[in-house]
Amino acid sequence: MSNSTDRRDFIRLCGKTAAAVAVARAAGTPLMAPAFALENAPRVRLVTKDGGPLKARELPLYANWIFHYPYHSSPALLIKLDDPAPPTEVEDKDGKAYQWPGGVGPDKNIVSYAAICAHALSYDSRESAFLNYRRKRNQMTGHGRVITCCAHASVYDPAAGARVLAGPAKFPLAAVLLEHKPDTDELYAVGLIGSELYGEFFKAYRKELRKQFGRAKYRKMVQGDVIAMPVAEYSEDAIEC
Amino acid sequence: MSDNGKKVVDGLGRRDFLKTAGLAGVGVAAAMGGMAAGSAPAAAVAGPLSRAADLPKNKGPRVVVVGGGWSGLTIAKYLKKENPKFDVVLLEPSAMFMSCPLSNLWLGGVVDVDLLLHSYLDAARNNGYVWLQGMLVQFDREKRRAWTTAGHVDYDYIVLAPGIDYNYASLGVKDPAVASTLAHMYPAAFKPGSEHLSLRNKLDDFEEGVFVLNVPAGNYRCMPGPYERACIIASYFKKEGIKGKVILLDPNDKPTIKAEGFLSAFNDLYKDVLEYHTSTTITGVDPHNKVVETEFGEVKFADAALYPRVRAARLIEDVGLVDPNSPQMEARIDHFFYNVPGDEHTYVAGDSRPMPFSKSGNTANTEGKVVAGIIAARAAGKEPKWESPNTICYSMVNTDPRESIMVDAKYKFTKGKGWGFTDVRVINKRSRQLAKANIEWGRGLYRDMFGA
Repeated sequence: MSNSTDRRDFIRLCGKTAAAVAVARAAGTPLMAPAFALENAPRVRLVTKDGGPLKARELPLYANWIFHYPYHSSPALLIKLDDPAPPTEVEDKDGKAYQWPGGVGPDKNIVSYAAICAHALSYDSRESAFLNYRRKRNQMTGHGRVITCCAHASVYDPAAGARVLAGPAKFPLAAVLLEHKPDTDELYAVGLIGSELYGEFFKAYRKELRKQFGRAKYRKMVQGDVIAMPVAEYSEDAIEC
Repeated sequence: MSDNGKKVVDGLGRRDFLKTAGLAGVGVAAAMGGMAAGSAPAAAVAGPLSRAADLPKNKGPRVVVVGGGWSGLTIAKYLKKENPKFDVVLLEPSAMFMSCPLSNLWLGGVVDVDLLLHSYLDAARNNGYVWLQGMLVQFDREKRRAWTTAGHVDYDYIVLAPGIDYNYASLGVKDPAVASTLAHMYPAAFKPGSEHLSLRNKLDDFEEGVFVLNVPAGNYRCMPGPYERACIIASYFKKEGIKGKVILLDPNDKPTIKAEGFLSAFNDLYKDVLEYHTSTTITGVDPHNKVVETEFGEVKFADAALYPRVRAARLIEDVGLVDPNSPQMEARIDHFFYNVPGDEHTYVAGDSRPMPFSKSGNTANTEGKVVAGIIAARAAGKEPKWESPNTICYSMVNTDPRESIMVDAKYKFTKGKGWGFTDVRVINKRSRQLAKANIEWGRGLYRDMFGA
């Protein structure tokens, strides 16, 4: 896939904040500056628990997986959808439009979003994962094939930049930019666009994040390899509602 | 405020205004230093009512939000979000916030009290508004001045979100002295603070016998609250091995909300410790002999938390905004835009509203964002937009293991029929996972109201 090569090179050439622009260009869509793109976004390879690379083809269909990005303590969902997810225009918290670059992988159906609710910051922790992707219709809202936050029933469409389908959230989840290496089938997380909430996230959970991830580490950016695993394995409770 | 009051304020000095408008009353006089009731004391004029409140100079349109509950806290925060130029003053007399939502969980020992307690200073500092610790005494809608126990405040917009008061006459208690006794001995514990602490102490002290709870008629605060509380106390009796029984008296023929979920909890979990009496209205209470009278006979109890019918906070009546046709003394306001008819500078929100929305935290929180949007739109000369409040409400029906049920609903207005529920979704099957979501529901909204 030449797109991903372009993207990678572009990032190298132009530096960090350009990641999203590069993705939009690579996806063959009109160039639109993202409303927000994380500066100095790390580029990390996703690996499984045993340390080997997570291959796109081996990620199960309908996967509801978790990894930590861009910080050691900030969770992100990794999802494999039924269908290819084309690039979509969505609006951030200030109403500014940005281009979500769409799914990656051989079937363009692998997507990733911050697992921190845009409504009231509920997130996926070891103890409880409030945000999950499920294919079946949930009881609380009647929506299927969506990410639901079970605390206040916000529903996001993972196939469309996590735009809000229902509930109190007013803007999409931040999107993690993925890259797929067609030759090795590996997946990389390379950036983050949309409505960034990490300042509030750290403020709200400082105490528990320090405890779980370490005082020195919890707000440091990840690097190298990052482990991804099913939410149901990571968390004591992948909350259904 | 009444026309009468307005004229007086315009034409006469404040002291005369106090007298004529009758607002001085016993409370104000007493607060001013033990003056004789009924006469507006000269000292009062030199007191807080005659000086300006200590506030930073306003840099933009000032909005006074009266009441720091779920409604007022949300409105104050989202006014600033809608328009950072607003100068927002939250007027609330309590020294700290205590949450009524989730308080049943604390009563049952499921969560610590610090989950319910929050700082008004944090809320104000994190969200760029000012907390003024005081109570509204009266306000002049023409001059746009509010007199508070912390001084007077000139404003551009005022929002009243004072919550509820209890109507003890609904329990067959007409004598205010007996009502006061009842309120002291068997507090309802639906206005957070001392009432809740008192109920918790009662449960700690409870040895054996009947504990009476009741569901009030009409639209009351926290529809599932009495049923959830019955479950929580029954669960506590079971866990502690207390030889007690909860008797829940309900004027309705089934629980007013999440009926299936509550009834199966009553049946499956609390057969021996909980009696649920439907279609049963309390007609009288003898506090000293510990007897509740109903149409079907008397219930003798060891202890009780008696929940009278709810009315809008008395403040609404005191400032002349009550709808004379409202059985629960609620405010007369526009049902879509929350303003007093003909006055786009005065609003009422939260549990004093006349619309039959659920008087609950989630409703007040979602409504508060809408009200903030309405005021911001009008301040900018734009058309306001109505949006339905959202009622998301969890109830923990078991504490060991923790299991909850939930409902999610919105409201719509139909011509000829009035207000009704829409988009209702209920999960009546209790689950451990919903119990986690139940607690996170509260945490999330505390973050919303008190965090940045």
